[in-house]
Amino acid sequence: MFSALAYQLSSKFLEEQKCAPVKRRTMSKKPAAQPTLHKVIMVGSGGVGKSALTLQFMYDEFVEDYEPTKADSYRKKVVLDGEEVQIDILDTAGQEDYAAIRDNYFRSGEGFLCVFSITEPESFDATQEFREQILRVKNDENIPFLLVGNKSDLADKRRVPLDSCRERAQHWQVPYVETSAKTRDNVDKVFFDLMREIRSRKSDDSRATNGDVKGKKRRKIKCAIL
Amino acid sequence: MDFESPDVEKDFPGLYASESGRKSNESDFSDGADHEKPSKKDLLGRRKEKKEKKDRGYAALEGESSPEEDTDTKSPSKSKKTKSFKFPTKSKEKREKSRDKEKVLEDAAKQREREEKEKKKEKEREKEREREKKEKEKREKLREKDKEKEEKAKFKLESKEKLKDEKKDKTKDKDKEKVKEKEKEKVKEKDKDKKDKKLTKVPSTFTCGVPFEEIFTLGVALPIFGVPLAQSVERSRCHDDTGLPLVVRDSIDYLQAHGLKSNQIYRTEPDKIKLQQLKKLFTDRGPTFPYHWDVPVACAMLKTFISELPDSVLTQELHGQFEQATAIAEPQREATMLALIAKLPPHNYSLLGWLIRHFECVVANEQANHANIQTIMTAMGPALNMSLNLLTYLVSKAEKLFPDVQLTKYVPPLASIPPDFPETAPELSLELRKQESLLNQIHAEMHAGFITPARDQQLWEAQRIVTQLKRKLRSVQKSVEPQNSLQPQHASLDERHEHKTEEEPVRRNSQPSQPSAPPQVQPETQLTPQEPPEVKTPNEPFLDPKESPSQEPIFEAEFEDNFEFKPDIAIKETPEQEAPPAEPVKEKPKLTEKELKVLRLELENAEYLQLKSLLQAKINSEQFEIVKLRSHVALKNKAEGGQTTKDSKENNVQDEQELRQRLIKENALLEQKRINLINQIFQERVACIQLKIELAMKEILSKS
Repeated sequence: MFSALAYQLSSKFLEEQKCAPVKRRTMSKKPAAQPTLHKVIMVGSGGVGKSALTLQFMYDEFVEDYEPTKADSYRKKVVLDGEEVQIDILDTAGQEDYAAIRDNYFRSGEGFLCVFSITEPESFDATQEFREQILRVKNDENIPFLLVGNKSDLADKRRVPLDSCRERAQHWQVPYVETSAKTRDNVDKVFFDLMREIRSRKSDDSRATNGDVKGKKRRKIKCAIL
Repeated sequence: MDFESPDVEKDFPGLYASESGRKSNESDFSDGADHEKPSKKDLLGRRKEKKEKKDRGYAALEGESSPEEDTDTKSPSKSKKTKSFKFPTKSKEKREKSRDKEKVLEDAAKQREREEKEKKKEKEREKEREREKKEKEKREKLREKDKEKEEKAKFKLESKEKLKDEKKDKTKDKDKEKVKEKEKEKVKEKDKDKKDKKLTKVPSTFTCGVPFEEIFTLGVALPIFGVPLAQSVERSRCHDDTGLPLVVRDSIDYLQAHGLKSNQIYRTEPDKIKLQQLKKLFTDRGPTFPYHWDVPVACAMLKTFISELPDSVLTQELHGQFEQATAIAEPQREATMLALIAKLPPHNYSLLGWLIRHFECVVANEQANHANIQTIMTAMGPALNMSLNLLTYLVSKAEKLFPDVQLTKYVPPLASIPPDFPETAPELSLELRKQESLLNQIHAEMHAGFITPARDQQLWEAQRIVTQLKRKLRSVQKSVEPQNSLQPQHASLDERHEHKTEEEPVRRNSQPSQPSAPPQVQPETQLTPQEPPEVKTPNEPFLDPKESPSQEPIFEAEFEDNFEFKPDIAIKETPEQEAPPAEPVKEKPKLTEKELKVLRLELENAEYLQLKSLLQAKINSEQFEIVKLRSHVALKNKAEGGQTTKDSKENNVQDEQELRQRLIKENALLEQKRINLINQIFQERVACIQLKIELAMKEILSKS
């Protein structure tokens, strides 16, 4: 029975194999055919709600049980200011155990959501370290980055004062947003804000590298948005 | 122009097989294979060039092909006069074209610009040719280093060879410097190229400023041919726990599917070009397609791989004993052989098992293919380093000697999420295991410093598939759970830890009449014939890859291979663990002690597996840190060498020695760190694992 299954799978696979690389390559070749892809990475200590935010954004679900993430990746098509784009979300492990794996992802991330829990000062302190790590890997001060204070629904248990959050965000020159994965408060906002930053960053880059003509084109698009 | 468009090429990779190999990032690595057999490659290279020249005749717009290009693939000994075998003109053209595409809507002003650019390009082309010439030297040199590294697996840097090597490096250092400068110029000159350059150039790692992949290429730094078997498996493995190198598995798969009835099998000489091409593909970890294969090539591929192994398949220690054992009289002979086979390292065991079982199939089809044991001996004997007697014996007794080896076709992990995702839990967990294995390999490669956009993409893709599989698995489990409280819990737990469903305990549970006598129950259940040897000790070396429960012992065996300290601990742990489950067993007769043990072992196994991959990644990164440091020293040497005149050789030697000593110290420190790290992590991990298992067991028991 198993071998039959295996063969079935294998024949399917052969087809897959033939199609898949082709598909993928054409995708990377022709960005015009495929919507733009923004790669977002969730960072933050363990248990602050990175996965909860991600799952809420992806599937509108709130998971109560805590199960540490090793690494998870999601893709979703969204409409960003009238333009269809794809978002790749990588949900990383908060635990240090998987730091080695995390590094590989940081490198390819285009924007970061640095999450902490407003009920947990330690997680807020840890954001400093994450920020440094990201800057080290990306070697770029202006990398799209949002500081996210999660669990805003637990206002009564708040232990990180809003002022210090804002202060840190200002110091880093990044936006600060408070979210609640449970009530879905600001969940879409953080992802969309970040995507906008990534997009404007990308158009800046392409203008810098592609000369004026290209830049003009991009600028037009940007104006339309604004 | 349409002909040459990149998309066409992607659709029909075969059309462009030889060229696309060059264009892709990873193709840069391919030199590794070429250097190994310069003379053959020489021949092959020239022919290819001719072919491509013809192709280009149609496509080339500016007729850039120059006579120098023919020298592209010459042997390393002549490398100074030659260039790397990339096609500057070709890629230029491509770049231009893709740019053209981008600019389709742009106006005529652009055209003027382009004309200017073309002039610039002409200059650049010349520069690039030079650059590539030098790159090849670099690679060649690095390959030497790497070879050396392989030989001294433990990085004994004290050895004198190192010093020699570094001296050799020096002579080429200046060239490298020039190369770098030129690159910088180029970047300034042409920012536009940056985007498209991904085809030939690869961004640097974040740890060092030097484009890493330009110096090291995956195939060069992590070869799979001519390295110890275990390493080859580690670097390019089948992701389904067979413990075979992909090249062996693919070759045997091909022969099993297409070769058994062919009278060419183990008889006809292969097409050398095809063989080299295929070998290069495997070295570069590229995908192979049916047109790369034919029966003689598959045979030759097997032979090449085996003959390039530094050690015999039977291992040096056991080889003599195997040969002696053939002389023993029958009743003892089989027992001796079995004992010897059991002593083989797991990778050798599976390689030998697969080969012998495959030969058995070949011989069984003698009617059709006219190949007997003598034919196989002639073809493979020298590579296998076995006497005819031994081979004959092994093949004739194949079924008894390797009862658990089943030649199943390899189904690689999915490359993208298909619409018809597997539905059942066992399928899902099987695929999940493969994906995790693939993911580990990608991580290991990235830790080794091989970071390309393509690999990044692959990493995210694999991660996404893993996530989807996990989600699906969870939902499948949830939908099953309400139906029966006990059974699915077994299943879900196993699956959560990335095992195929352990159907056996479940089935046993469904027969409450005989709960405590699993071995007797088995024949009555509807298990497939392979499953009965299921009640096995964890030390059994290798078992059938496709059947679910048997995966476990394989990994135990792998642990023995990789971390000698683990099995002891694992064994120590088992008796301790028997105590807690004993009590619940009395309360809940449905769970036998045996099942609990199996379950616990499985949990433990899953945990250790995770641990293993983690440690492996760390070890890899440490190892490659060392390799990187060495390359840095080489670059520094070059920089200093550029400043001082050639006459001051004494100074150089002193510098070199200083550097070398510093390196030795650094490496010793690194090594120390690594060992400490592993030990620390391991200790903490063992504690964690025990706790996790305890938790999981409690959970199961409380739920049941």
